[in-house]
Amino acid sequence: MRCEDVRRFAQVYLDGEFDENDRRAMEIHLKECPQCQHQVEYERRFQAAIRARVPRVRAPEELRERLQEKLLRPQGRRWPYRQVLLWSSVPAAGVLVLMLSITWTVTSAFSPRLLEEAVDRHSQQAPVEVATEDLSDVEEWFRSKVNFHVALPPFSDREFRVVGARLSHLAERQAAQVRYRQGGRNYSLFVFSDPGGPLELQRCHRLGKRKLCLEEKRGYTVVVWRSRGLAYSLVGDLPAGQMLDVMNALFRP
Amino acid sequence: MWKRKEKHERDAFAESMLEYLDPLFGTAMRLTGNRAEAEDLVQDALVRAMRFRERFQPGTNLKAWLFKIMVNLFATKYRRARRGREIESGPEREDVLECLSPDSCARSSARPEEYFFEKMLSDDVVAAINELQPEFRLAVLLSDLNGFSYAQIADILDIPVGTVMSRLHRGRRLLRARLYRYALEQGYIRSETEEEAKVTRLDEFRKKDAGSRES
Repeated sequence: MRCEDVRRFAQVYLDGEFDENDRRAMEIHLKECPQCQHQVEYERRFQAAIRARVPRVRAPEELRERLQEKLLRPQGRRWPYRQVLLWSSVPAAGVLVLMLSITWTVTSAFSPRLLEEAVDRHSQQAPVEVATEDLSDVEEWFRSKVNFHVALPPFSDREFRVVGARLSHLAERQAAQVRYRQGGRNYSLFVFSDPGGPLELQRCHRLGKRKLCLEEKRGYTVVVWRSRGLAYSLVGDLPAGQMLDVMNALFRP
Repeated sequence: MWKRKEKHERDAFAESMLEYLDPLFGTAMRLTGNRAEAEDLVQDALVRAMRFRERFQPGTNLKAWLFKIMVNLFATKYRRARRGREIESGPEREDVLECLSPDSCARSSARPEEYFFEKMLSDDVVAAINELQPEFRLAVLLSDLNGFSYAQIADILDIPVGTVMSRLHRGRRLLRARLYRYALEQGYIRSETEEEAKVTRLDEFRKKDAGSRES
């Protein structure tokens, strides 16, 4: 890759649109070329500045109510939301998953804001701060940056590969964000110290020794589990049923 | 039993659509520039999506589908509103030619003004986005504010991925040029860059150039 290409495609790279080979070529070039590094950094900071400065607008409450009025049937409006979603998502879960797991209705929530922010951080596709395919590099990189030991889960699926990591925050809590790729899809795994309290989302399943809870949000699914004082949250743009299949493969004994 | 299931599906679909109300409304605000029109646009889009919900393919991205419907509605209204008016070729074009990339406007990496955009306020950025032509504004809004991929934006706007790329790049450059001008006007940056500011407008540069040749 030449300087000219780097300059032309800096934004494409930052937008996360490069394929594996181009990305690697870019990163090799960047390591050796301070001018291009500077150019990419300039673009990165510009994009970050714009994103940070445009306020997230909340829709007016009247609009929300009016739309509920228009779109939901009178009976539906009185229905508790969780039940509606649960009802519609049961058939989506795979047969294997149903055999392996127990589904039950739950009442409370595991900090909805934390889940919201996990989806935000994942969908923003911010560039990684360290690019590596090596799990121990990632753990090492976080050593000086967060106040807990980032122990990455030993996933069984070899195709589920780490691509890099960045420092992140979830509901004012330090979090390690690790990006994975599999079959052309991006996933973000957030690792943070266990906030405590009951872990109860829309749906919970038991996979082996682990209890996994899932929640669908804005076209993404967030999976949460805890292990040895840490909480893990994996976000992917799949419906809950397919996400569970992914989890099954990841935690296959 | 069947009727009951159908009702659940309908309500569940409505509920999932309403989860995207904030991003839809936020983008509608930036597109229309005022709250009343934004509310109308979002409402029309969601009512339409409900009517055509059979066409939504489960497993694909619902947010992108809703944005597509909203953007199409906006484009129709917008086209109607400015029928016959060509997109002006004014300073906007020249900004692009003069594009304020690091090589042209911030040659020295030691200059503190280089990252001038980090000193800007939210209001400046919002104003600069609002001033972009809709095609560039849309690309920037969909990518930078809503996190859609190039392929999703291509689908939403019904244009090739290459066009998404060039609109997005041009949009960001225009935005940077605008912000640079605001930064100068409002005194966030000054002094040695003032000379450069004068030549960021091609017409001014030409005048200046002609003047110096005459003397």
